[in-house]
Amino acid sequence: MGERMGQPVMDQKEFALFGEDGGIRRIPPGVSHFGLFGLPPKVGLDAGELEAKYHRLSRRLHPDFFMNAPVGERIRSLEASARLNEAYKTLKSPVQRAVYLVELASGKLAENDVRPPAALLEQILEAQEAASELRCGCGGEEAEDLRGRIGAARECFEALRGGQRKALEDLGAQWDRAVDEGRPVPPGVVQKMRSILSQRNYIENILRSLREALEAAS
Amino acid sequence: MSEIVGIDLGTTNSLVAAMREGEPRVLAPGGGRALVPSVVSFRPDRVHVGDKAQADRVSNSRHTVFSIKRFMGRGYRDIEAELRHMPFEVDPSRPEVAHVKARGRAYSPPEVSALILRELKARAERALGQPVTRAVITVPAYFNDAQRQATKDAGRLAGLEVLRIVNEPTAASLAYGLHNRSRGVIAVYDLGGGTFDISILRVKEGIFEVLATGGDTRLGGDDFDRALADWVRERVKEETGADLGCRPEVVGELAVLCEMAKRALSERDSTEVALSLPGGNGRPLSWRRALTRAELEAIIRPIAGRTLPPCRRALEDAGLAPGEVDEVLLVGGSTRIPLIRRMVAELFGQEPRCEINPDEVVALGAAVQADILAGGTRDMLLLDVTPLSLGIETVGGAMAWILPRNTTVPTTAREAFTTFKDNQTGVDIHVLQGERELVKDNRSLARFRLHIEPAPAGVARVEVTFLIDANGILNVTARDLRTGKAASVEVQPSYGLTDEEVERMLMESFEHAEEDVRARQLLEARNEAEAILGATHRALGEYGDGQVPGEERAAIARAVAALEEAARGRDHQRIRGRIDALNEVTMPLAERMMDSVLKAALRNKSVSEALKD
Repeated sequence: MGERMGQPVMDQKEFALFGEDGGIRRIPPGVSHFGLFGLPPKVGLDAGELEAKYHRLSRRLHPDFFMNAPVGERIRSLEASARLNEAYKTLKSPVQRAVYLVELASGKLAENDVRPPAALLEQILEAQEAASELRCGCGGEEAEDLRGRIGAARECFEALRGGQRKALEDLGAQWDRAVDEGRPVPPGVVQKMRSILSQRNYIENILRSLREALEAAS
Repeated sequence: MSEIVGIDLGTTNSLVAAMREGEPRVLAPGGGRALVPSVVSFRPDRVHVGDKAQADRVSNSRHTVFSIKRFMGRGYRDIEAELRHMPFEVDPSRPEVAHVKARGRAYSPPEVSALILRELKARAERALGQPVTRAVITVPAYFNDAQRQATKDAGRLAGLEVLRIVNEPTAASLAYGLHNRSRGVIAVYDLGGGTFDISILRVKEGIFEVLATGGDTRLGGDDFDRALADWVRERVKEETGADLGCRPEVVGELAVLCEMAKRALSERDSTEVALSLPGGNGRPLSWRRALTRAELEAIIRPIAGRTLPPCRRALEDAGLAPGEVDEVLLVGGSTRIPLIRRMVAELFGQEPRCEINPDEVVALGAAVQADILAGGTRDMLLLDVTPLSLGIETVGGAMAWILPRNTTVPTTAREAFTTFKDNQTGVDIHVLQGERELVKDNRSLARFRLHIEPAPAGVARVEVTFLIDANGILNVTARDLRTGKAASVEVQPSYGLTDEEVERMLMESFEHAEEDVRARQLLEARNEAEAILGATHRALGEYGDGQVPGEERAAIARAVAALEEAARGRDHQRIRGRIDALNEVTMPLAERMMDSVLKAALRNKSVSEALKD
């Protein structure tokens, strides 16, 4: 088994997908998802415009329309469509888009980077313990008590998630202002977004496991 | 350019369709039935496919293969539990590909499927009046990589270039979506003979974008039949004390009987199940009992209920509530069951649509997709997804995800790998499909070995590109990031046939095809030789020594002997040559015979009377 490594940082310039003869050009590895769609690298994005662009490009690039084309064109259509789908999937989700931008700016968010927020560590452990006790099926009043504790923890984490969402919105607005004004995004904004996004998965996972524990026990 | 046909290769029935004057049509030569039962009967002297094979399911149960789709892309251990419902024999000696055995020969599932595809190809050729070499073939949306690959292999073995593997529910949505008959968010509930799919799509301005798909590739009408068969066994045991056992004749008859009863109960409230077994190596048994729809529903409800969690998960994956679905389409023969219709209506809170024949809608949609590929239709485009997450094995047997399920295809992901040890020349990558966290709980897809130039540990950098094409099939390429050169990748599929095996089978099928043609030519040449030898003999008998000069007679005798000798051999060309030679030496005789016919005619005898002489 080999070791997996991070991806290189990409540039964000707009890329012309079609050559002068109308043929599909090969997309170099350095073209960003934003560059592919001809969109500025911003946190906020018009979903309708993105979808319209995606559908328009799909109609020009999809392998279905290159079945009888020469093999080189067929391969470029396949590769370009695959790349387009990857870009669309990343950009249409607000969270994935924010993660992608942060990674473009400051390198990949490695999976083992995800640490539980230190201030919440105790609460997390307690909630997880309650969830696993509930799962292994202690009956009666105790189950009722466990359910209550898990419910309280859920509310607490949901509140935290709400606060993070708000913070991301504010940071996103700062990010987009900088892009609009042609300034580099302030490193403090990138760092704050990075730290929230890396905690986000952790919170989401806990919320899911708590929900599953409650559902399984009911 | 020859026409591209759309083929629905089903568990129970298969059919072929093509675009005719802007509309997809199922092809049935001579106006007969379009549905071809997906059944292959191996008789001692020939192979039957379709209706004739279906008729053999009881009488030739040991050598009549049905529901082969359930074996596609699976290993022996995957299907072992199903074997008690299959009267035919399965070869346990090939764990990675479940082969069936008939008349002493083992057949891989793609080989059996190829026999069905060959029949469909021939039917399409008769209906269209031209050769058919290219096809779109549908598969359940929830088919994994190995099952898709096996379907593609079957197409190749049948002499078809498979231009696209299309998911059945999405194909159905194309048939419904033609002429804007469908729009908004659509849920396709597809319950066939052996598989279940649910797909959620958004249709907008001719773009059919699949949002999520789910399903179970071992859940379908067959399972209802089997549950009913088990119920019958129990009743028989209760009432007569007889254990029906697992003789192929019994298993074959029960399967047919239960399917018929199930179908009848979609139309009526009650039917009769009658079992009559002759005493062979068991006791003769005659048993009959009324069966009501309510009883059947109680038997199949737990199985039918298994279709609901995949529906809920697909909706969740699509980020939608059941109430946000604009239309629900029913596909597959099993959606005729009233219980299924009620369950679907209840889940989505609306009556499902079923105005296109649920047996035909998939093939019709495949014909639409074929037309798109042929360049006919450009205003519709299908954007489908991969049904299962793709990952690789990491240290400790955990999954590292590369592409999540419901990613639009074609799609690609890249991973960079390096080495652990100095001068390590290979890196093994184990690719899997599935949703579980541990490697052992997912479906092994293939093992790849990357060949790497010797270097100190950690220096090598090889980037592997995983590309899932529009068929949902994985392609892997690798590139050495230091040199920029392509790195070599060796692929070992975990299930299914290797490329070499498919090549060998292809060669064999060509050789057999050639053998078949040669056998037919030989037969035809021998028949013709026999006819001309007979005619010559008769002519010589009629025209005595006096009318045929001795020299001519001797030449004819030599030619006759030569032809008789050639006809005992197996070389049809040699026979043809000697037929020509005999024809030549008998020419004067034939002319004299013609003369006498003409003379007879002049004597007011009719030509036909004269010829009879």
